[in-house]
Amino acid sequence: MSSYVILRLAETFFRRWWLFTVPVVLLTGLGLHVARASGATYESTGTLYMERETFLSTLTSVRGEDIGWATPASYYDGQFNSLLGTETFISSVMSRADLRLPRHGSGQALVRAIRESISTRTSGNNLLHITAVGKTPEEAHTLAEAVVESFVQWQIDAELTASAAAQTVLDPLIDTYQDQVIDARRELDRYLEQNPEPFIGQVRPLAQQVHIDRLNDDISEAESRLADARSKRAEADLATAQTELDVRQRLRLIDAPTQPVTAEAAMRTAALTVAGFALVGIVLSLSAVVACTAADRSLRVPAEVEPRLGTELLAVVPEFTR
Amino acid sequence: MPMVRPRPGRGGKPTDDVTGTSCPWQPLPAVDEALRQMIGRWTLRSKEAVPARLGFTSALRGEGVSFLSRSLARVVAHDLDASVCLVDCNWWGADSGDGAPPAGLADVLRASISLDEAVLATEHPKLWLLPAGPATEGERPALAHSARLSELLDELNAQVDHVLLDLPALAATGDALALAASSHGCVFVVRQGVTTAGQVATSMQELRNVPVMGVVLNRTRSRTPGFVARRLAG
Repeated sequence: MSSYVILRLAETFFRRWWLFTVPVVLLTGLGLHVARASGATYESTGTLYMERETFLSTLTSVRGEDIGWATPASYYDGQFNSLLGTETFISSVMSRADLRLPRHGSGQALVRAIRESISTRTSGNNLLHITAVGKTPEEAHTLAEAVVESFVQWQIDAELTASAAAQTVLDPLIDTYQDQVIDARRELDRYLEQNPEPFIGQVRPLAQQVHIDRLNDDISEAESRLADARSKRAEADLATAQTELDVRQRLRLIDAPTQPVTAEAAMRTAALTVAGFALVGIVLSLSAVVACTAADRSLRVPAEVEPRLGTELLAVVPEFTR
Repeated sequence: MPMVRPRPGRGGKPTDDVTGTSCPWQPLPAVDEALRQMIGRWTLRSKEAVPARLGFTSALRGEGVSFLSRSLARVVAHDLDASVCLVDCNWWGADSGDGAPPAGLADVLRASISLDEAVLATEHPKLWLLPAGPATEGERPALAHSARLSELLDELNAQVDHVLLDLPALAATGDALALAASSHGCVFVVRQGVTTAGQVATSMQELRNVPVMGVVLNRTRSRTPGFVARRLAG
């Protein structure tokens, strides 16, 4: 850009500097108002330490997720942000944080506000920081705790699917087998009442003895089925406990969210808001200066005479007033 | 200037409004300094600091041609100790004055009065003024194109070192070109923030047969603080 163009822009600005600073002043004022209206906000952060696998998982049949080449932190960060987009996860967070959808107004707005107030940041290969922003320290703290716990519980639930399914199937079966054992025992008791033990020295007829043996076999078979089902149910319970333990070891909460005491993050946000508005004002002012300069076709600065007219500038005579 | 003598009652002490335009006969330090720089540049370029017959014109009226031609005449007469006669050729500008204009160039061209009678003395002993004189709109083209004008200017040049012509604006009349052609060179006066570069360029294009010595940017007033301007100018 030629130096005379810059000089013309400067001249245009300084001729009406008060006019060109109006957008900057107004928008900065608006930025201050917006920053003040948005109020102070507080941040609470929880930090999870992630591992690929645990010692428990190497000893048992419990296996964590295959995360491939990604670092545990980036893998779970991606998973967390995907979950944040689901209604179910947000509902879980709201439930834990004891937040309820408003009776009137938009529940979507609250869901959106919760989403916007949660953010994550990874550091290194294993650390994931989950931050929640609230208007009060308590709100930020509660929300951060709810988010961290919901995320961990989500991981546990996802890996408990198989054992939970086994428990769901086995529980009614155990009840059925229990009833079958009781029925078999009642049948034997009833038969023995009808056919009491013969007197001493007498022998029970062979047909009765065979029937009693058959009834005893029925009881044994029912008891065996019941024991087998109970054993499998116990295995499922053990798998559940191992899985939960494994997930909690793989996703260890090393820094629990604490209640913030200062609103430092809010100051930064407010400063950014004001700076953003001021920047827009500056851009508007500069645009106005450029537009006014372009619209003014007259000769304003001595430096432009020679390049624009192609002739020598002989003298610059200052304005004279009597 | 032996032939031109101040006459009682007319020469010696011209008023501020001899021709209906401002008449800066008193020193104006800032203006004078700017004009001295111009003279200095000319001196460096050639032996002749100021051309023997120099015209002042502009694209539009009111750009300060009369003011600057008079200021330069005063500065040349004072600084170079040279005799100067300022000839007001701007009959169009004389219209704006109150009352009848004094006798001048138009009367000399009509041969109503002699050059001696028309020329006015000023406070400075080496500076004379030839007013435009009264001329009707119908007369002006004939006066501007008359052969007598050229002879008259030659006559003046024979008596003084420098003849400065206060010419009308080129946009005011087509006759301005004929008048400008009477000079050896023209200075183009441009008022800052008023005349567009396009208007100036068009007018200078019309003056292609007359050597344009350059542009004087008049009535400049910079609002940019000095340190900013110096910084931006590099």
